[in-house]
Amino acid sequence: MLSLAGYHIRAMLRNNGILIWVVAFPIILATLFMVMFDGMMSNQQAGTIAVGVLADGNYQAPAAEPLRAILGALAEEGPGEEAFLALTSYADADEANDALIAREVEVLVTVDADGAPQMSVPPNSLNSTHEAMVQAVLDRYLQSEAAVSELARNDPAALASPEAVAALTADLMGDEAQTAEVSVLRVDPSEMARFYYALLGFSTAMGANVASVLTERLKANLSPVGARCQVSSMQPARQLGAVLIASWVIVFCCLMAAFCYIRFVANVSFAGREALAPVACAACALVSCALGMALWALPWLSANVKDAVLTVGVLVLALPAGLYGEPALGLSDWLTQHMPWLQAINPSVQAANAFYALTYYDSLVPFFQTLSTILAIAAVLFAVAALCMRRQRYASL
Amino acid sequence: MQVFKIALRLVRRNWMLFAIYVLALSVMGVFMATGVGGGLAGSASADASYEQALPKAAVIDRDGSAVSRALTEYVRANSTFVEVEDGTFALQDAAARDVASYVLVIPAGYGQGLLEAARSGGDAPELECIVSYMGASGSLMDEKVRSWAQELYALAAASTAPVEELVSWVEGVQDARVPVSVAATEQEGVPSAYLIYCQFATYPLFGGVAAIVATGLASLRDPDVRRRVGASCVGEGSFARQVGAAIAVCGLVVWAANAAFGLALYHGSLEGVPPASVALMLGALLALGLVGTAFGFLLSQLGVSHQVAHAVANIASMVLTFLAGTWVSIDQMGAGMEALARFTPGYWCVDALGAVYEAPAVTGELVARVASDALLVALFAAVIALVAVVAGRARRQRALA
Repeated sequence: MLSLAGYHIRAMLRNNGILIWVVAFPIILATLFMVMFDGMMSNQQAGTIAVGVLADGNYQAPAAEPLRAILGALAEEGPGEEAFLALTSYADADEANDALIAREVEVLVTVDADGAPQMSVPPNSLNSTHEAMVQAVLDRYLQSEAAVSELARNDPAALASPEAVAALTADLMGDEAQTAEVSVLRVDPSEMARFYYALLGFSTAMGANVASVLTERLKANLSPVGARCQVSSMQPARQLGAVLIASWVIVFCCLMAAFCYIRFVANVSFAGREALAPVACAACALVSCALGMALWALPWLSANVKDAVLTVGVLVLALPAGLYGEPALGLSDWLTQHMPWLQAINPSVQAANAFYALTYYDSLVPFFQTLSTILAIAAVLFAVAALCMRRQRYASL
Repeated sequence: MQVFKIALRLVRRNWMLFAIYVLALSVMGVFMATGVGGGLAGSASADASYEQALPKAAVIDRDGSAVSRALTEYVRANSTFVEVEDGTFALQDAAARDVASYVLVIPAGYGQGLLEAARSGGDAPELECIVSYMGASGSLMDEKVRSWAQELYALAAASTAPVEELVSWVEGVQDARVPVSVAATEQEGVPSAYLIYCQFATYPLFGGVAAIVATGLASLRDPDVRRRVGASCVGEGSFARQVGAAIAVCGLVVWAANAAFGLALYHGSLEGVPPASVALMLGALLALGLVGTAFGFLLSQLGVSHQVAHAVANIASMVLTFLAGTWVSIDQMGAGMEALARFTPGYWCVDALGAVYEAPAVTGELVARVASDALLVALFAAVIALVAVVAGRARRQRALA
């Protein structure tokens, strides 16, 4: 069985298509991520928001002076910090509206006759966080005015003197009430790192190509080698075992190569737990082999169709893992919260989760739970492969 | 025309590839669009009105005072509230899985401490928070919480009223909101979900067509078939032209299938959108489909195996769509990446789609911009097709030598 596994490994090393898929593809994608994320800023902070202001008579009136002061202060750069707002003034309402529609500015602020601000967003607005942040600033301005009125109505004595009103106004705009951001994870999380973990999940599914090609070599109706194997004296179960050993060794080495590239070349943190990465790669390689063997053991589909199913299947499985950018990450989080069972049966998602849990949690329990899920998926897929390969009849050879 | 018919028959025989590459990838596009731009029929109405983005937030109340309860209610009313247990593992789980964009931890004694600080003129005790690394919505919630606490601080500094009254005043103040309107346009714009769908269509239109063509026509490159063709009365040029025509038809069919799928799914939200806007977007996608077709023709001429064809088509598609800004907005990348992206057809196709999406109305200027983008994309197709012809000729000559 071991010598057959050795032959399988040598055959795979001569297969250019497989080498491109399993070795080159993850490294090319990781390199692409490195190039793309170089200079890419985290979007945890809002960045500078382009705001248009209709600088008409209402805006220039004394009633709007506090608003002008607030917007002006937010448009100033702090020491080492970029400005929160980038203000563009428009003298004409049509000009301001055109700029908003053309998305030269993200939000347009106008002022009514009473000096109260109003806000406009572009058509087809995605209700973005930037718009909500400007809205929060304007809400705070209006609420400060409302707070003065509320206090005057309920406790007039508190605002008996002009000094008291001034003190209240200053306090409303002050910063005595603060929040402190705390970090609960072992290392600071990063959106970019999630793409790399998703890439490892993608590579896991991609590795199924190895087992698929080797399983094809066992099927009497798919290749001359398969026909020879079927009439040989070795039992099908042992042949399957040889395929499993060979494909596991290859996929494990490929995953380790991808992991080392991501860790040492792309410099993605695994928080000092790199020693456990081979364990994760071993489990991922196993489920990868099981996936390929199960698909190729199915007797109903042609090799070409199986090839396409596997190719597109790998791409589809990587979607909930969050590989395809921010929308995919959002979908991944949504599925995790609303359809966890769907994520639980997806080997790509579980493989990505294993590296994620390894890096971020204090406890290793989530990591080993994820590995258990991966092994359970592998067991089910192996059972499917074994059932389909057992005592199979071929209509024509 | 015999070769043309045979080529079409060969591609038709691989109908499962069509189903997988075109339909499965189109469905992926729908998933992506649903995640960002909203649902299918509902997206039009969602686009027509403004709703403030609500972050997912949770509160760990270790204080239990009137202030902390009121603050919890405020967060609940201004977020998509999620429950998170007070424990290290639960908090790590919430942060790691992005269960909540913002977790507010109200420390014990916060309410009393805030009142005492306000009345003595000192700083209020700090609230603790965990802000998600995904997007700025956590920072938005943090800003709102600080505003709420500052309003309570200011009122407590100004008045000696009991805490319950102060809290009720702050709650009353929250009703003061800025009115938000959506800018009116002459014509209804393309819904966001359809834009995302079209952006993701760059993948099946490039990689899908290439893989279908390269795999479907693999048997035409079989040495025995080539020998029989060589011995027949069909000239080399005629053979290549007929195969090229079949590949072009294949590309058109994939484009039409993807377009029909999108129109069928989004017809509800596209009601009221000028047909010219949709036509311009589909025109830009057709140009990209031609690039995919030319790339498939190149793979076919290079005589790569079906496994290599799948691999190369998908790797190239991923790179193309990445550089086009389909996965991550090109604005978030460095200037170098944007400069590089300009040398790829996907960038110009997505640029045309974005121009239609952002335009308030279909004007001559918009048509000219989309046409120039599409022309540029089509030029990529022409260059790749030319390379394919040269590569194919060189390969055949080597085979004869």
